[in-house]
Amino acid sequence: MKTTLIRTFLDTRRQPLTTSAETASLLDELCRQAPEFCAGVLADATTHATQKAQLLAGLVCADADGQRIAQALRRLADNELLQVLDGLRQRRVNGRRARELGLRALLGHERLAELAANHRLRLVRLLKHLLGERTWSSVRRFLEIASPEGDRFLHAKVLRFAADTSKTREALCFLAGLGFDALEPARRPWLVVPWLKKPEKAKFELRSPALRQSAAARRSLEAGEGMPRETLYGIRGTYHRQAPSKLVRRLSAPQPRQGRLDGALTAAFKEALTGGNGPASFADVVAKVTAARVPAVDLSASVVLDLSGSAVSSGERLYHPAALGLALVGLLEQRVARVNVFQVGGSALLDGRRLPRPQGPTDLAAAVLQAASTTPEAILVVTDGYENFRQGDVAQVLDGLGRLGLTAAVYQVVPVFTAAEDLSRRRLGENFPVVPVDHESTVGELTARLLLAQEPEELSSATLRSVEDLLFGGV
Amino acid sequence: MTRLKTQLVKPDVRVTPRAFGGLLTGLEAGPVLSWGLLDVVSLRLAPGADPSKREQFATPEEHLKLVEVPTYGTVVLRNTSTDDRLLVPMHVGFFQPGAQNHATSRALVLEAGETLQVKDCFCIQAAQGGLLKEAQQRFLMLPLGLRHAALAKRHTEGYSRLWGEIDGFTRQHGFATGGHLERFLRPTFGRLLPLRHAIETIDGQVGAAYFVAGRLAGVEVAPHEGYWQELSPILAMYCYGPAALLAERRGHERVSEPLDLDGLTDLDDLADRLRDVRVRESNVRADIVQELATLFFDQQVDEDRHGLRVVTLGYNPWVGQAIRDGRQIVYASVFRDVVAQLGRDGKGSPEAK
Repeated sequence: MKTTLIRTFLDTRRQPLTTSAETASLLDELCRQAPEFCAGVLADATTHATQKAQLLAGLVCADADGQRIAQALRRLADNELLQVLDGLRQRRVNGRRARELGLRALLGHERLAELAANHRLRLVRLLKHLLGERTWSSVRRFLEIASPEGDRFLHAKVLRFAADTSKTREALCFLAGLGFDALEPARRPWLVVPWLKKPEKAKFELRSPALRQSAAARRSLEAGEGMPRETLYGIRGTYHRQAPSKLVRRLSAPQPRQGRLDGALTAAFKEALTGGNGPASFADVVAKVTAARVPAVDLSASVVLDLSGSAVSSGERLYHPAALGLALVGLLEQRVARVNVFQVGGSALLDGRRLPRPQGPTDLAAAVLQAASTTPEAILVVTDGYENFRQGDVAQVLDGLGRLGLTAAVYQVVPVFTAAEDLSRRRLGENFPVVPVDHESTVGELTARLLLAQEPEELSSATLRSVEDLLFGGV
Repeated sequence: MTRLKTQLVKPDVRVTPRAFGGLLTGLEAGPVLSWGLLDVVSLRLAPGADPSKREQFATPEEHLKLVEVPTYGTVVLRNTSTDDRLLVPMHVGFFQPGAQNHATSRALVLEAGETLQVKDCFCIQAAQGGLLKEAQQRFLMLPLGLRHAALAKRHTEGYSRLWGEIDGFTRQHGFATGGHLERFLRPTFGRLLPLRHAIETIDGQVGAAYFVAGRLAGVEVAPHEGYWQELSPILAMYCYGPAALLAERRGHERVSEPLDLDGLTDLDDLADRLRDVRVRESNVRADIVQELATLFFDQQVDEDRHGLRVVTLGYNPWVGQAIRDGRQIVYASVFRDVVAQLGRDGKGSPEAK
């Protein structure tokens, strides 16, 4: 397969699918050429959910292990899982393999009861799509009225995908509207035969606490105390239209602000920079935190590290760009055989006895020039993007390097606080990719990019496996 | 021990030493920093200049405390330093959500530990009643577009006398009208904040000259480096940043000489060309600053306090104030509303005159 395919995927995987028309065809091609790699991508937290939905649709026709795909899907957060699976419905993909993949991921999910309790309508819509309207209707009927034929049918159609048959059956009953009083349908049957009696419905009781609470909330909104806010709003919209929205806000589970979870090395650098740990050198901090040395990849990397004054940042982001940048360099040093650092700004040298503190202006262009003079395969420019020493010089210098025939791959690596940060004004140039990094675990991606930079156009399967390990193996 | 090979890359711009005269005597030009339409020439003490007199001033962020606002238009300030005098920068404001915000109209001098009542301040928040109760404040600086009027209205009273100008200012930026500066600050904060990070301070820096869309907009000088490090982000964000945003809104573009890449021979050639273009640009900026510094400003003594003299400077369209300690200028702020003088269509001449 082509190396550029993986490179382009890495450049675009954080974007929603809609931002580029070429991305869909790129993902389809990737599914055809590297299906097992794509199955790994499904569980990757960095790739955008819309791209994963496209990949899943592509994997339906590809030769990839279904079990592995289902496992990858089950590692996703609830909302993301449903969004990815819903991609099959939106693309009208419901052949036998799509049905098996979808049902295996969904009905074999260990938290199926919670999923059903909190996202009932979305799950029903998915099941209707995967099974077909008629089959879903039959499933509902056989769940409602127990019979040997019904049990055989249920097993053949749905329960064979279950991890725990009784729990899955209960969740399906809830989804089918059993165990609570569903609303009367808005439309009456057009033909009523008074003497034709319906068979007696089996009395059904829910045992799962999540399902019981969700069912109870349909009778009385107060019973839903502690459920997610959006679920309660949904129940209120259908069953308790008169209830004030402030009641939902009071009842719903508190939504704690998601605090930042820094990696161990980033946290250690932050502590050292804020002065909590006394004087320490870069090497001391790295050695203290990273005990086991991972095998280094035989690569040489040139890193331009921006430790100018802006890397201090402010408020809750105090020292974040500097600490994360230092952590990335520290981890790269462990993973890559030879690392040349071109330091911009800072109160001391990185390999000195004191940890450099951010200070001074940001002359990135001169640093890129010096890095280029060592003829590396790739240059990582780790910077917050506030190029202020004649803003725009980096782009012009890279243009000049191109004219001189120096074709090192250049990546702007931006340590960000949240993935949603707007970097449009902090791009050093249009012709090279920006890699936003919000956690030190992204060092795997950086190493993979360095590895790909020295690969020939045809990517070997061994390198692809290494890239896969680096991307999805964590720190 | 680390296996890293590290190389420190220092800015390589050998500007011809440019010691300024006149208003900026004792200072020299340092590196030029830029972000968007804002270019900043850093000012440092020239070799041989005596820094001892300049060091003896308290820093504002640490030692300037807003004690209370007894009535609209009047604020009580205190210098919490027990040892050093404090220079309160011109047009500094105190911003606190949910309370009435005020800004000063001129530069002030406070003795160590002194509490001073200033009656010629402006209320900059017309729409919401109430007074500041506590000093949980942070600074702002009046935007460049308001400072000319603010200086002209010093030594007069009336809390609402800047509301008309604030109304015009917010209207220029396309926001809701009214004498309420927060209506401008809140929606533009996301665009102003990067300036705080992008305009970094240089070692030994005590001042800066600000260029908006290639035209000199103002010169600011602080007594010493620590003072400047506290003042610089506020000036970039609140004072000159809004002018750069307005110039951008009006279609002006960055004035910068492109790097000539034709006929490049090797990396050294590229490095030389980069160095040359930077030196040329720095020298051009420094020449413009020198022209301003040597203008024969009309000087009017505003007040003498605690051995320091506050003078108001004027040379149309430039206005400002300076604080002298004997012959030495320890604080200066001279500016003009440069965006008002630029054309609306972005085709105004970029040269500074």
